[in-house]
Amino acid sequence: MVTIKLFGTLRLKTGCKAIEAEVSTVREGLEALAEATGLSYKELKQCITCINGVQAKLSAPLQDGDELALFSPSGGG
Amino acid sequence: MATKYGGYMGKVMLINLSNGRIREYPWTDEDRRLYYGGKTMAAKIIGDNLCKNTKPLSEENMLVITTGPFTGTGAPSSSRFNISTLSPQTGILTSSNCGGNFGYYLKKAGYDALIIHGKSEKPVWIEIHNEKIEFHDASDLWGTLTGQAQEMLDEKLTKKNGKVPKNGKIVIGPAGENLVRFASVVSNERLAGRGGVGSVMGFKNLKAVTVSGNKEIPIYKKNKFEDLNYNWIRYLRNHPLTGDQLPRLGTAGLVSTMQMRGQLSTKNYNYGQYEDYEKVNGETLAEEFNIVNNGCLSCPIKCARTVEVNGKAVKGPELETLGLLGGGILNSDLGLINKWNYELDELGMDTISAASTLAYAMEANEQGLWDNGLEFGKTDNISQIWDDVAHRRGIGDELANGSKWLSEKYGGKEFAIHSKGLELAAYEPRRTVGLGLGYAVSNRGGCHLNGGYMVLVEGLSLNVDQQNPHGKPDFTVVFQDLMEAVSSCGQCLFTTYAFFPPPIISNPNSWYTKAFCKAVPYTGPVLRLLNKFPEVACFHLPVIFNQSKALHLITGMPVTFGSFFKAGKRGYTLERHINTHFGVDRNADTLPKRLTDVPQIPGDDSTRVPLEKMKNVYYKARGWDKNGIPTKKTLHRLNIKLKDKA
Repeated sequence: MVTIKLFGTLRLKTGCKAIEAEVSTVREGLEALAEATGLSYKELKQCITCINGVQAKLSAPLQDGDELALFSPSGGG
Repeated sequence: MATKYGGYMGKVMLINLSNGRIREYPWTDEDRRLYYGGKTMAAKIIGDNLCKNTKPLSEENMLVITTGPFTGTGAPSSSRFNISTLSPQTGILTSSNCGGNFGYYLKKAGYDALIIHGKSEKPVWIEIHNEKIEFHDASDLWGTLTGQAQEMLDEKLTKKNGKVPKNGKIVIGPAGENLVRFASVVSNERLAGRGGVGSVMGFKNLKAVTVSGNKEIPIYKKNKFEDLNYNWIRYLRNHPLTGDQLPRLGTAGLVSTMQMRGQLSTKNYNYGQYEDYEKVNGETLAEEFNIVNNGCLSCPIKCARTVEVNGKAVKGPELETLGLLGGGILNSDLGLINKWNYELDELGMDTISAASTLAYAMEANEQGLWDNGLEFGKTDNISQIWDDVAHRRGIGDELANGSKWLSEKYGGKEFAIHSKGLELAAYEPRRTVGLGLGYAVSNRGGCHLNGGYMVLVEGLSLNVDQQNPHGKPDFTVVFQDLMEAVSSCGQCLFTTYAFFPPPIISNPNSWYTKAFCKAVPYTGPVLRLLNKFPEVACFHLPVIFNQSKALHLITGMPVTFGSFFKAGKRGYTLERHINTHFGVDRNADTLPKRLTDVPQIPGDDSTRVPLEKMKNVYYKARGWDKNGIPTKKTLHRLNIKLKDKA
């Protein structure tokens, strides 16, 4: 089981903080999140994705217990 | 002096608190063309008048309060004003910028700037209404918190005028009165927080200044400017950073991104990730604490948060405060951070320096260097500590001197996280090495914005290699100079984030964004040419950077993107030139050894700041010598001249 967490403005728009899913790649994780939140896969694909705090590609494998985080670009001061 | 240019009121007043004399300061149209306003104008005034022997806490030191030509014109996010002085925290020039409405009302009263020097015998406040400038006894205000002081001032003005006049105010709290080295100046709920400008005001026995007036702010080509402004605001409102992330999450929205990038200072910069970050991030602030979004006058971004503390709606914390009072001291209670943020504002202290000094003290205690009772994760005594610092009681009296002073007394210089005496912001520079350089060379000390804010491209908005120093010094120079020019116009630096077109920001995984990020380290030669010959950019950048055209339309000055950029370069180098008179050189451009010598990830040498190597390239790009001193040729090229002083 992988925990998929959503950060940034997409989280505020959907109200979804995290879901749990049986997925084996980042791509599958995004598909599961799209289904759970109603966001489009295309929109989620443009998020920055990290596995356990390290940036990862869509094809990167996920293992049981991993945490996949999605966040959008940000700026501030 | 009267001006032919729009955007300016044509008057700078010199106020001597020692003898009550008020006169106009000669500021010419040539000065306006070269220095615009804001921090750059203030630097020129300070450089012309203070000598190298001037002490920060002295009658001679000046508080220079400046607006910019954009202030009050309706240009986006342009209500800002700046306070510059010699800093009691760093001993060199500092500039502290603030939103709110004081700048707008200062111009409505007919002034571009105030220069306050001398020292009053007794506590006073100054009331300015159009031409009338009056001193009032402030003994009943002395000792009050900043919120209470502002309420009392409104009552006094109401009593005098029959109704609450529309006015702007600056006040200090107990911290400024008691000369805490990182005391701030407060205006409504906004703060000129950095560099200890509040303690200079306190030393001068000046509790507050109020301004009001009804002058018109002239604009050179009003209709054309309004057309440009309409499109500019629309662009900012549609930009993913200024129109979506900042309004929805505020600066607090960065916490999660910084965590993922390893840039969230944790346990006094021992680490770059905090395991409880989700309890103190922007999303949690927005979902569980934020009552309403707020912002400064004439700002379409509205990045401020409002939270409830003790049943009262008050300003919420910014990213720096969340980071440094969250992971920085291993505290996961966001409600407490809201409360401390409010308390620090009320006492009139900079949250960055206060938090970082506290973290230093906790580590010094942990390492057995200073038995002070402060521990990471122990939060029950912190409110009392703030009060003790502001009133210089007990260990608060020592904490009030900041982390540099403490590390010189107790040891642990390698983990006193400051540069030139000014504590760093919440971004951990070992995972944003370009910002590491920026912190070290920044004119006012360890400041992320004055340092060029490279973290924006090193992980926050774009994914330029965080650990690769290549190309970063040249980029830093460009960012610093553009931000310097924007700031000198009186505009918020957040508008500059829209410099990167929306598709690049919104699509981080697209081929063009990836290509841009990969190309950055190799853009050095091109940027070096631009840095050396800014005049070649004799055009305006449409859509993404409207500042140069707006400046032309507001003032009537001949401005291009290149001359605007050059003005920023002039300002930045002028500040450096002044600082060299106070002893700043290469040796002062440093970071604590934890950040330069100890890799954040054990065994990965790239996760430390390769500072010395980057400094060489940076000085060359700036036209400074190997020792970090601007050369005569550079000063001449930028038309930098200071008056001869005795």
